[in-house]
Amino acid sequence: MTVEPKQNKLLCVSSSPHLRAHDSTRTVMLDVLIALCPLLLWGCYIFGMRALTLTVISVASCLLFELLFNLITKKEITIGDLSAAVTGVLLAYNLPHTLPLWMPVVGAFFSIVVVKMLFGGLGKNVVNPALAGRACMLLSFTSAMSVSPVLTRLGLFESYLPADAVSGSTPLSLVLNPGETVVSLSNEQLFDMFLGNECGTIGEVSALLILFGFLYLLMRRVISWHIPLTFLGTVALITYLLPAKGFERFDYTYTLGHLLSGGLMLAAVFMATDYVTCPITTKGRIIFGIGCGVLTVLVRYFAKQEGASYAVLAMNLLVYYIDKITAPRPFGSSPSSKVKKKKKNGQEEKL
Amino acid sequence: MFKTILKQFKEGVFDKNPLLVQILGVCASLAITTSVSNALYMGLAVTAVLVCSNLFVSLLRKFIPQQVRIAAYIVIISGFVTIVEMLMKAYLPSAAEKLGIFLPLIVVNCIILGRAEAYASQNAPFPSIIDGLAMGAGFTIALLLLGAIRELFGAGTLFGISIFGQSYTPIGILSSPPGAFIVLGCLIALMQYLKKDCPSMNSTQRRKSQSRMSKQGRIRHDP
Amino acid sequence: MKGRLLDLARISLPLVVICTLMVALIAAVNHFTAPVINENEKALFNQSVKDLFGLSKNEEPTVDPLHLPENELLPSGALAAYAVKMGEKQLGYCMEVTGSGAYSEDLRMLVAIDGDGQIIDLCCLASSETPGKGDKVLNDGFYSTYYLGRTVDEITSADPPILSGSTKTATALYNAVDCALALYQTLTVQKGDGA
Repeated sequence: MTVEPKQNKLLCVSSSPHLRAHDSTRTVMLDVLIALCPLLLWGCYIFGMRALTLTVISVASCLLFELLFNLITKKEITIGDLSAAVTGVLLAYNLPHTLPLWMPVVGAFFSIVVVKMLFGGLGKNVVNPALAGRACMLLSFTSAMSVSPVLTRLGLFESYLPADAVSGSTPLSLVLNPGETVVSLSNEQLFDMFLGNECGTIGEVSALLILFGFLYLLMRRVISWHIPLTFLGTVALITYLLPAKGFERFDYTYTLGHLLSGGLMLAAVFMATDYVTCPITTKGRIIFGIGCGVLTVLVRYFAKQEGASYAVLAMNLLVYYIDKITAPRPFGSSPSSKVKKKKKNGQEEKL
Repeated sequence: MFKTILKQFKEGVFDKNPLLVQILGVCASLAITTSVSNALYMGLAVTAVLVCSNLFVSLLRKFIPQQVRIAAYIVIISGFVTIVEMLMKAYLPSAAEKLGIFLPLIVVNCIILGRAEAYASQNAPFPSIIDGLAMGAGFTIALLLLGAIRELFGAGTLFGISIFGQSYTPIGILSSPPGAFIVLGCLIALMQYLKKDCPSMNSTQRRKSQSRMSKQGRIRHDP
Repeated sequence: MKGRLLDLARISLPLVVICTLMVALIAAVNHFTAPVINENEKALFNQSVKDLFGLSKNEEPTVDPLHLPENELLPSGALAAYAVKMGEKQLGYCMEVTGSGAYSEDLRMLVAIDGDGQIIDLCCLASSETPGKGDKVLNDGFYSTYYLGRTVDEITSADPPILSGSTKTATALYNAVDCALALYQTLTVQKGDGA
């Protein structure tokens, strides 16, 4: 999904079939933004208006950095395609609402300038800009980036918080660290997590609204189902069959706890499906999703922290190879390996 | 005379900067540039070794047999690295302590062997010394840039002196290894951008200098 | 045959000459720097001992090396032990030990222990940990949080204190302190036997 530069005088033809669809980067990005909107409303509802402020700052700085980069390098101005806005929103959704207001600017600079524009702009970035920005911020401002369950206006976190609410935990830490006695999550807690009655970063809390966004994008045919479903399915399968040390096997609450907590859902639906940084072929997408799932679980089991974003980043780096090995055979051509073999045989016969 | 020296310096600092254009000696550069003072000491140590080894290689260039020249160069280089290490331990102990393992590791820094092979083994002693100085200056300047950016934003200090005051929150990624890669990558990109814009070097000239560089850089194979 | 030998000589002779030349150069420089380096190390050691026991600049403690037992009781990693006195007053002991488990070379530490077996202070003489990463644990803040003022039993009964991101260095530090405490115990037991 690259934007054809306007100065390119060649006739640009999309791949067949040549239907006249008004399918430009801008409409796709607009669809993604629409799908992301409910999450912001929900974030504002439970975390307060600070969530909105952070998001606005993040989006504005993303657009500004892209504009500045375009102006400085005297390239065509590309902020109209809204991809920078999507990056800004996704970056903000990965931040806790307690973050100082200037920090998203640093993340936006890293996302847009270092990860996207220096590699050549939209379509040429190797990893997802928003996730890379988050990883950079996590490395830089570790303490500010860690989610602390500050009570918000709903005040509904009591069900997760241990008696000393000060050092309380996010639902994710319940499935990551087995306490002295293993507590399995109750159905009520799981339902709260599904709705989004939990603490976390701005956009990751409500699994329900993320699913709505997923359905909307599916209906609009912006994304295909392969990556999110294989991603989540792999995580579910591994956590059901092989839970981390200290948890019981075949415990569906544990599996659901993994699926509903942390940034997994957000990463699976909105980040892993980024056009630029996911494989093109269906087979490739399934491999990509499974890889993301396995890496997420590995990071969660052994590093005891949220691994979805790192998993997607790591798999982004492998996309080139995944595409290479899953490239479809052109119609009518014989597989290249067979051709070589035949040639070899022929030569031997001649000899 | 003066003109050629100037040209050599321009090549060392700009056109053929060891770190930013030839991408040599990256390992130590990434590891050591957490602060400007470390970068300065490292740059000076490398320059000293480079000048001495260039001088010796150039003096002995007719004496060293083709077949074992790499071994001979390495002996010369490691000798000078040992000497520089001993001198620093004696007269700059705090700097030697800070550079730690990367001081003896200058032996395997490709810049030094590269200049011995590409320049000093084919040129007279005086130009070789100038070449060592020029390349060393280029390396030092690149290290200083890298170190300054990383220390200023990664720790909020320069030469250990606080610049932004107490309230500054350091951007931790810059003082950690990934930050080193990112800053170096950005500097290389900037260098390429500047070279592209530089009016003194149009494309044909650049192509020529590139082919010259690759010819020089190539290791001669013995028949 | 003769030609090949000649070839060999033609190639190896210059190498030998170059090696000799470089060795001579290094030896010459070493002649001048070795005493200075030695003095530097001595000064560093003295300064470290002073810092460990909280002495001011003009106070000169007497540092007597203790005889280490040469048997299996000696913990591995122990380098030397010193009794530190200020005039007649016994200040405590100073153990020079190495801690294994660091990334590259072992840590070389000085551990000051007073007469009651409490750790007074720690000091790192040499480490090759990554600046800004592994050496995060080699500072006063980390020492005072986990080690200073503790006794043998308190430290050996607890888990090694670990700092996230510097696990290996922290482990090496723990090993060094452990070794120093073991050495202290060995020495005091030995004294008890003698008396």
